[in-house]
Amino acid sequence: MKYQYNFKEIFNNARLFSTEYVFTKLVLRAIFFSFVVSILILIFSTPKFSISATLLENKDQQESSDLEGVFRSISQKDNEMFQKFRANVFSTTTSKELWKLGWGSRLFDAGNLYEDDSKIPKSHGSFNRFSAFLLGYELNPYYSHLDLKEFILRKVQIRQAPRASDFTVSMLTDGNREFAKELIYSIIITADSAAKQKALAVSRARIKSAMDELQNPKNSLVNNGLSSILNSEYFKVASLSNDLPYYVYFVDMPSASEYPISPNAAAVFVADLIIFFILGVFFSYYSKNKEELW
Amino acid sequence: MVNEYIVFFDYEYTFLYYIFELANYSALAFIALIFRHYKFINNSSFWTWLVLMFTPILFNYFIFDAHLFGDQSLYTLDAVDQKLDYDLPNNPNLEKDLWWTSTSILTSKILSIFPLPMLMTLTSLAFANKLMLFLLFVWTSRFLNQDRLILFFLIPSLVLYSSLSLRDNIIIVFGVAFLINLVNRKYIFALVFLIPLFVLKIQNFSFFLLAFFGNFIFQTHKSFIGLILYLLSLSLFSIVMQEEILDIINLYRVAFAAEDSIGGYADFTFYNDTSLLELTSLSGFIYESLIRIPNFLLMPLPWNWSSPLYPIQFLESLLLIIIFIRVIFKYSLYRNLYFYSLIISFVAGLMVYSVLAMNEGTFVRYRFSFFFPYLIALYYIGESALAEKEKEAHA
Repeated sequence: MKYQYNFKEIFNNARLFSTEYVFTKLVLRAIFFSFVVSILILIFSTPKFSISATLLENKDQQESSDLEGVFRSISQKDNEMFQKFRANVFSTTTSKELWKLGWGSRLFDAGNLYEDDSKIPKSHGSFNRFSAFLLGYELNPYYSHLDLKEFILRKVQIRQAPRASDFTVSMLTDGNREFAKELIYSIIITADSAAKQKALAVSRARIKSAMDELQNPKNSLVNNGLSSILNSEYFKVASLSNDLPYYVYFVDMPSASEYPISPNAAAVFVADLIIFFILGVFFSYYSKNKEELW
Repeated sequence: MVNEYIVFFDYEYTFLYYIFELANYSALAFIALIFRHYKFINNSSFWTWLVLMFTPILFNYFIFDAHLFGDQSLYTLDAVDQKLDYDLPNNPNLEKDLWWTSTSILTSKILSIFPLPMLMTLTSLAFANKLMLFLLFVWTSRFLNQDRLILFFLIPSLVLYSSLSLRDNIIIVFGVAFLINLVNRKYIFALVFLIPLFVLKIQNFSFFLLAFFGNFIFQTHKSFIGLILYLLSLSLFSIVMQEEILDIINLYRVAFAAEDSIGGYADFTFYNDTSLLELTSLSGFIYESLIRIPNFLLMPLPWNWSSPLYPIQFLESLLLIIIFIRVIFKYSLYRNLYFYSLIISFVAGLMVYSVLAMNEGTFVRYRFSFFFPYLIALYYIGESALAEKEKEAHA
């Protein structure tokens, strides 16, 4: 097929198309209808606010004073601290710690009806109950720290933009924003502390074994090596034994967005306008060219 | 555009996901209607495209987990950054000077050219891919019969890759546009489509470049002597540069094997003797590639099937090979000089890809983005020659 680029004809055709199919009552009605639908969507949507904290990896902790530490820090991956922190946020250890801090009852027993955190009844869907009955296994009747872990996995997002050095820990809430801010803060601090405790335990174990080895006399080279390990591990213990975050810095404390992130009202209006406008044009076109289109 | 004023939030699989993507679909359907109105496409193409344009909504979330093709989020976030005019945090100079060297930025820049009303979810850029493919269809239908051409656009792999926010569709579209312009002897236009492939898919770029040299420098489409000279030069080049060529092939061969191994790159080089994979001579490379070409062309073979997608891909590859051979013999392309530079570069590509192929999933994608442009180009050469003959007969 060869095209003839007759611009005058194209322009005239476009004008005809507009008057015949675009500027019609049907399209006008469709546009009006789009506003109604948008308003209905927004009325029935629950506004969700974003609660987010911005963090920076604590890169200082990747280095140590001696040459070995410098080489180690060079060979480490750029975002190792971020990866360790991320893994800890979604770990069972963190959810267990959060459960101990009372987050289980705050999340799953909002009315504070049960005194014992481990006795908050958990409801299971009929399908889960049916499959448990068929397969013959027991369903946990109470909430546990594993449900809290599941909650964190589903709700909390940790995102680092490509090539960025900072990252955000965020969640959406349609409820109490102060509560969500507190939760995000607790998750960050607890995950960091859990990671810190693990690092502390490793350092203390290394100190103990290095001390034991130093009790037995060896040649000066080995003794120097052991002393160097001891120094570096004591340095690590000193940097870990405080209340400050170890893996991450807070750049921005958890805060709530002023406006809801979802639904985006403007986007909903524009999307509906486009859909209904084009649907209107389509119907106009189809009704006038039915025979030609098939 | 609405999204220029908002921060990207992934709506994932929600009701609003459908609203936003339906808006994108409507915009594409409107473009199809305009093209139908101006008679650039016929009725059957119009209705088929209305269905094809809807597929991006179905693939992510509905058929596949959107995170199955993880690169989608990379391209989407880069596209959003560009819409919001954000600088790249770690590389402030990259955006200004060297942005085109980054595959993801170039991909998102190309996809951002297309005026989508909504860039709200991971699926949005897939509509840009679909629009790009539609424009390729309209353009190629200038030279080819639409009713037959549309059948090529219904190949399942093409439908899949053009329904995701990935770069594969750009590679295919640029590949087809390059080869058709090359055959039409519009070398500047051909280069325009070839150069981005250097960043987007350097392997395809290298093989297309062979075809370009054949047509542009040796004029293989015009003279038999040119073709002989071209073949001699290629052979001489391969012998002289043997070590360098083998070094590159070996590097990629080990890298793909490592990527496919359980422990990744570090474990593979630690636990395996990589020299076992290395090709040491040109004859060894030719022998190895000839043995492995059937496997590459037909993969995933039945004994490697591990997902319901694999039998479909196997049958599709079988069908494509049959169509490819049918096109060559139906139009007697071996009598056409245009055929040779294309088929030489195609075979060179097949040989290299076949020795690199380690992972089914990856190489099925690579194979299609390499195979499809050649298929369309050969079909185009055949149809053009036929039309020429008919014209002569009428005259």
